[in-house]
Amino acid sequence: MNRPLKGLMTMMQIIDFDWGAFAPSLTLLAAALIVCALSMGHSQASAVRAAWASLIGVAAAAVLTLMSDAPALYFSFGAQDADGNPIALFSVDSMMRSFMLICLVSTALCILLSIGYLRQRGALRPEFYALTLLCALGMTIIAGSQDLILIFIGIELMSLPLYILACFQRGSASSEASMKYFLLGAFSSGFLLFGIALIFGSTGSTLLQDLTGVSSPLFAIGLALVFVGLAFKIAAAPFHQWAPDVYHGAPTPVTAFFASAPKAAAFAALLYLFQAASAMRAEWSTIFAVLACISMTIGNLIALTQKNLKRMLAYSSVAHVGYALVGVAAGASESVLFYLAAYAVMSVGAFGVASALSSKENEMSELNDYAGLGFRRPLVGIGMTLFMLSLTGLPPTAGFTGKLLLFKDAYAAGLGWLVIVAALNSALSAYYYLGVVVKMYMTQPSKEPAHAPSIRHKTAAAALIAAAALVFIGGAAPKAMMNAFHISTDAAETAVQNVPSEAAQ
Amino acid sequence: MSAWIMAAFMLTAAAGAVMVILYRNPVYSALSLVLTMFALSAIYVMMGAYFIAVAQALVYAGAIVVLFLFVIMLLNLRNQQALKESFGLRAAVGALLGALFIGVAGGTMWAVLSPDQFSKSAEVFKDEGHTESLARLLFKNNLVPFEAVSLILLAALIGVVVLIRFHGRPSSDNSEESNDA
Amino acid sequence: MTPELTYRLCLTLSAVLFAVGVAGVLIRRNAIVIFMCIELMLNAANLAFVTFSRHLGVLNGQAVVFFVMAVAAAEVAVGLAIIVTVFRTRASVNVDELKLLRR
Repeated sequence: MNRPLKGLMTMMQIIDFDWGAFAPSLTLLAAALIVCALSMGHSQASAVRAAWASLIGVAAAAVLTLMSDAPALYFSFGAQDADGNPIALFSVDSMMRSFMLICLVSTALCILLSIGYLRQRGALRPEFYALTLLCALGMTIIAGSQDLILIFIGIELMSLPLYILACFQRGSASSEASMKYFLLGAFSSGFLLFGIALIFGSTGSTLLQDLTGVSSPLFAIGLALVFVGLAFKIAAAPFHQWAPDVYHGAPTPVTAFFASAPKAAAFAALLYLFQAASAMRAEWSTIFAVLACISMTIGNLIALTQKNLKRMLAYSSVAHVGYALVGVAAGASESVLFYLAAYAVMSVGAFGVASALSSKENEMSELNDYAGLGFRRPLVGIGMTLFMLSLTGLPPTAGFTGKLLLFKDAYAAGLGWLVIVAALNSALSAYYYLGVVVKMYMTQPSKEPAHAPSIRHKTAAAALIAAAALVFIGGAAPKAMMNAFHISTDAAETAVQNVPSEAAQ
Repeated sequence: MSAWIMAAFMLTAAAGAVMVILYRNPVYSALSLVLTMFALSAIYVMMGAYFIAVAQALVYAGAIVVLFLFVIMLLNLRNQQALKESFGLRAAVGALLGALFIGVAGGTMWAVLSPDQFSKSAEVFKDEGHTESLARLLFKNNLVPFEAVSLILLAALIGVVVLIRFHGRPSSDNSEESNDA
Repeated sequence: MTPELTYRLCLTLSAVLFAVGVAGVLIRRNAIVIFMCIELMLNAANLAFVTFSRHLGVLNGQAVVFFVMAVAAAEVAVGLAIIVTVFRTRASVNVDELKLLRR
């Protein structure tokens, strides 16, 4: 599961291009272009057509990714170095497929959630889906990239549509969220790019394979700047300040999207870089451990005080980034992948409940809106309870399995203190997650509304059922979930691949 | 002689950058940005990166900053109360962080260059076909990034169109939008 | 001026431009000026790329600059459109006045 390292490059198979390996990405590209063409239409009907076309495209790409199990392949697209040897610019391996599947599944769920939500607000436009697909394409590029420049371009292709998606609702809150997101996103891109420039200066290359074994002051500064840029993108504390405002102001299905897919893609870049910069892995491991500690603690402590569900979930996402960073610090990429997959489905589920229940009059973003809902809408209550249990990390949910795997790997890597901090944080988070459940089942709304909020759209209901099913499968049958996301269950494979790479240095 | 010209352009670029953040009127900030962009373009010429220099002048000074100026004029920002900013503590923190970064990164970059690497660098840039080799590089080795950038431009195009079509349309349910002229 | 000194000065200039850009983003409250400062940061990276590319004799650094310019142009178009959209509803581009979302 490791990325190619210099010693292995000679054995690595680099080919120009292969239609089979790129079938999922090309399907996504074709869908994106078709939906762009559909965006010419103005009518509501064309928007619905675009939504279904994008959904079919994403689903087809996901199925193709799921079915492919070719060995790891590296692609040069005809690029050669000065000696005429092919350069590995892009890789298609099981890790790339996992990241792609995480992104595609969350994208599909968010498309399903968005149809009803946007239609209710008169904001259903075909461009929404064109931008979503271009964003997913950016994530695909990040997931397979072996080159820092390609990573930068992938991140930009992912971010630019996100800035616009945040703006997809009338009123100032949405456009303010968009502007905040844009300014911080562009700021972090500046860090990312300057860091890449310094890395280029210290190695003479932007290929990940050439970073192996490099350790110079310039390289260290460059890597630090890149990590700062990525920390902004994943909203790890202390670079998280934008997240609550943006998550709060953006339309709820878009918020669900923000919390899941782009975060996983940015984590892909983080993991690849962390693995490539092998000479300084020990130092970076410590820094990530500290970052994880800060993220978990700050995220959970502030989430405790929130009265607004979307803001609470935003701070909780900062905490969850912290948990995933525990895995990065331990160098356990499989557990990080599983956790990201689990977090993607459970956060889409939690935001999705708010999105599906909301109407034009009631945004359903305050915690008080959920008082007494558990008995009036039993199915919604059960679903929300499942997502909250999973976010807390209680069985039988994907969140539990994810945390278990992470803590086990972190303990094995000698980060016992971090496991204790993370476990304490999980206990702390139970207070506010289960607070939502208590609110739903044990309190009465202050004034009885004429109609309790309900799920009006079948598509949103389908998305919630799918998310709930995945969360449950992740807890009850972790192996099935791992297979579904192409996460290798064979830890021995990693161990075997690590030995020659260490020897090669 | 050329050394002094180079130094003058460097000082101009740095001064322009500082003026961008010191001027309170955004029109002056934008004009200072043009100054920096042109000085950088001149520096690229003197380093032999001719094509980059032309692109820098055309894209940054010619398109990007003009777009900035256009938006500033469109919003008529000079008359806005919002412009009255107070600097104070934030400025101190910003200046401190900036100085720290210049110290660390600038110092490292100053120290890291090794003279032995210069021997080969001169030849690569001396040849007349510099633009040609750059083009080869761009369309052979960097073909995929190039195509990906075209997707970014497509996303930007769709994004701007949707912002203008969606938020620009006067709507009955949002009275705030109608009084922005 | 020896080429070595030139490169050192250019790299220092790029560090200065980047630091000024970061400081500007932190100091200024006008969204448009903040965005100009972000452009300064990207230009600092471009200068570093060109200088390193010259210094190391690797032309690829200059190809990167093209991509950065294209990305920056796309970002400016989107960013200014968003700023105009915010201005339409709030009649202000001061980021401190974006208080709607703060609790």
